Amino acid sequence: MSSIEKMLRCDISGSLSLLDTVLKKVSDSGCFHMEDKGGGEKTGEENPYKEPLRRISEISAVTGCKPAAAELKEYGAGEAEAAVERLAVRARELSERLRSSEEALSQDSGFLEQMSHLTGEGSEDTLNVDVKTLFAIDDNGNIKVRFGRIPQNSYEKLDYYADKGIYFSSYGYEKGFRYGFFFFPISRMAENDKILESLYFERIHIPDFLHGDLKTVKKDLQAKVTAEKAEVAAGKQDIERFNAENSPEINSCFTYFKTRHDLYELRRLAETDGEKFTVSGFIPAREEQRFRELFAELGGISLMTDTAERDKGDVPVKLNVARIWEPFSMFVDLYGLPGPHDPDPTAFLGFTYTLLFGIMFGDLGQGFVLMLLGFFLARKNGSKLGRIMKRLGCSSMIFGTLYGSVFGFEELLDPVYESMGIHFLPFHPIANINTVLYAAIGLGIVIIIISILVNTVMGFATGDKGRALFSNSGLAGLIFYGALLMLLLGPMIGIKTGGTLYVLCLIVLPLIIMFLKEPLSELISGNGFHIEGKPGDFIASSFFECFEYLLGYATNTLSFVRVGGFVLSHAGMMSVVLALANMAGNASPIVIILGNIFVMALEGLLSGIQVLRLEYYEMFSRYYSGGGTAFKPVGVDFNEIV
Amino acid sequence: MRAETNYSGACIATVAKMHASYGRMLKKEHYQRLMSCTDVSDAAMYLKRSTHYADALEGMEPATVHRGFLEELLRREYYRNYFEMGRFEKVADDEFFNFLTVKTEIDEILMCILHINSATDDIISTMPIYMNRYTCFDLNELAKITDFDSLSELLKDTPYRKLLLPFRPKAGAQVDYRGAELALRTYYFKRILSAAETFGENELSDHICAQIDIINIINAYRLKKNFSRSKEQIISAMIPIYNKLPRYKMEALYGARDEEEFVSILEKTSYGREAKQNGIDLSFPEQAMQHVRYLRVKRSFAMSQSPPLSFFTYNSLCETELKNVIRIIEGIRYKLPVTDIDQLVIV
Repeated sequence: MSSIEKMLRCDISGSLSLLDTVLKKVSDSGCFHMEDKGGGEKTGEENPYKEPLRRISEISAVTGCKPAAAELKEYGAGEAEAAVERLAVRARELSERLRSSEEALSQDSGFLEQMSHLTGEGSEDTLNVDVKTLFAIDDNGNIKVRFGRIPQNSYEKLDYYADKGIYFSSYGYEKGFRYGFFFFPISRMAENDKILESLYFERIHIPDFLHGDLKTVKKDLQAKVTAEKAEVAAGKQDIERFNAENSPEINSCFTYFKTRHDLYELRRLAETDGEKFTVSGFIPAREEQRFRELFAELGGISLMTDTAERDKGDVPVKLNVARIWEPFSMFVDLYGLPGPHDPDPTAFLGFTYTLLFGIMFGDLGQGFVLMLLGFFLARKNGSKLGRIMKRLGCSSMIFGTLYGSVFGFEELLDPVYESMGIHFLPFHPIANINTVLYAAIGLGIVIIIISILVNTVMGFATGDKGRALFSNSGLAGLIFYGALLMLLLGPMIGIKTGGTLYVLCLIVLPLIIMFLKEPLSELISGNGFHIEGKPGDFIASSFFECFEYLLGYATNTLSFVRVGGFVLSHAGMMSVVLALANMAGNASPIVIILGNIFVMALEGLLSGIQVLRLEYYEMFSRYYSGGGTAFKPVGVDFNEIV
Repeated sequence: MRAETNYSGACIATVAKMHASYGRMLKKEHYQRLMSCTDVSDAAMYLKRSTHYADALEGMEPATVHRGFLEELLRREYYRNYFEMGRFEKVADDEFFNFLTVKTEIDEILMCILHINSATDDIISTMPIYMNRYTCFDLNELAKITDFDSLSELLKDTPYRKLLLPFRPKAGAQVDYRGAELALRTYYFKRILSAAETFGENELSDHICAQIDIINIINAYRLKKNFSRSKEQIISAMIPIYNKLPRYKMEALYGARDEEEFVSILEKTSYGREAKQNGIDLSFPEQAMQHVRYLRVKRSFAMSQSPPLSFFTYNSLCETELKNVIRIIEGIRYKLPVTDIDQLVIV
């Protein structure tokens, strides 16, 4: 079963000189949830270990290596900093060299590409002149030529400068840029160059080494680009070698600085007064012995533990869930961990989720595939979803066997049951529509009643008698709901109910009690029958609350019809798949496979979501509020560099 | 309770699209990586290769890019995203969803007034000409304006003319920029507030009101810290819309003796308490207030299913991201220490 781990409040105090040692031990313990005492070292000073970690982050960024935790090694004063600096400088050198090669490659590839823009916009005609000749126009002393590209947005602004003597001849457009030549009088060169700069014109300098027509230019450039590609490849190899040779040292320095960095951050949570420190937090009760042993040989400190009452203070929550239901804690986390007055709902959620999903998605074959998929996911990355899928797959297989459904073939198991002499199985949902829908509502009623009972028990357990006795999810609600159901459904199963006394005592009276929940709760707590606010406001708000309760009972119950609906929709969709397969002739196996994949994906997802909705809205809303703080033991986080 | 409003399927799909797009936005680790860049080219390369800006920066050449151009491309992407999200169904026709266009119009008019006053360089180079088809006046014409009367003439068919007429300068004098700015910004907020109220969603109006409060708090702090302005002087310079933080509390802030007292009063307001709860350092009120707003908007966006609220909060998140990236790029350009840049990033 599942429960919430019992916690102990733990205070460790001692001389300030021992603070680092204590923090290291609590960090190593892996079971200490530290509280922020607010009186620690909040000087606003930057963590001194942040800078070396930033340097390691830089190394990682430029070389692509990912630092990992290694064995903690002690370094002498400044030794680790020097090592990181040396590695950073070397990494930067290699990266700069690679970058410079890449830039040269990029530039020359760019030139090669620019040459293609000299073919003219929408034309196959090449600018068939010597590139040197084109720029020789500069030499006549009157006109200045600029070749390059201008963003389209700036191109649209050129009209504004019409009076500046700027003429632009566009030769092509690509990826938001216009390529072409600017011509303007040389007398306006300084002014117009400034304008072009403000318009983000990117001038393309034709390299001096290029001569001849475009064909020759392209050939020369191609040879240069090939040589530069080889240089870039060599640069990348150098970086790979650097990573292979230096990763042990990088990891060692990373471990050293990250450990110190995170411990320094923990100092900020401790309370200090110049001479002494206090570190406060929580440990699981079952870890107390082991935790104390860690400090056994450390003199000069005081370690006090005390039972942490969940309803007093913000005690962190650690769920202790049986292995079978453990993956379902994912859904509890999603909603919020148990608050001070909540039970651990994981086991109940896990059981009802598995049951409802199996009913809705009952198919022996598809359940088997779901289970295999779950095994695969759980094995691959240990995901909780994969583990949940394994359980759901099993449940689906069980109900699929009862329905006699295997990949949509509803009669496949008939001979098996016949040979075993079981005549009431398989239970074909499509032939028993009413039974399926009634059973779904019946199951919903049982689940709602269990939820109300859990809330009532929790109300008594936490001393909140108002919640246990007078709320719509307490004893009053249970009596009202039960009596109403018996009144409506009793005649169907041969139980006669009704009569004035029945209605007055089991329906009207609980309703009045729920109406007066607040003042009655005050009364039972010894504060007298007291109405908060104006009586008119109280009556209006209580009236609407009661109205909402009535609606809630009806909608919550009917909400479970969807369980039956999905049972029927599964059978219906698979019959469509089989009908399509019959029409497909030779291609029917493919239609059956694709149809099964489609139904599994669609219905699996929808059933999963709908069951979760039932869990959260119809069940959790009755007995669970969430909002608890997760138990997070302090420690060094090696997943993040800084 | 949030008002139930019927929205079309396309609007709901837009909400889903915004949430999907939010998943691609920059996270803390992206900012850290960007801050570790050594120059603008490096930063441009990173943005182009490893972030959702890849498409927007496709034609840009990182090695030679100008910082201003990089920022312009990023701004343009912000506008493109805004219009892409807003063009679904009737969303784009609604008065409220044009808030960025109105804001841009006002920003450009104010830029023009600065240009008239000080005859600065051409304003055309920084103007978002791509917004011309959405604005209610021609931005190209606005760029050519050199005096108040021409500006008034250009804006004759827009609501801005009436707002600016009281600021017509006497011969030889300058336009009262502060007065004009206050009038235009007040108009903007009143307009979007009244448009937002038609949806009956208090949360949306609350966000706009909080935005006004935060702008006022930041401006009041700057006036107090840098110019030691009196309470009356500050009140006259603030947007006169009070909603989330009552008038008397705002005026208590304006009446603070100095910036220390300002911060201590701010600590006791709902914004101050929220900052404290989230571990935000209030000794830098400008960043702290922006951070508080960012957290509110982020929370609201995560829970929202309503198109107008999602659109507004999503846009605010995009704006914060844009500002963060630009701050980092500027920090890199001016060789600021990483720790200083880090303080300016809101995440």
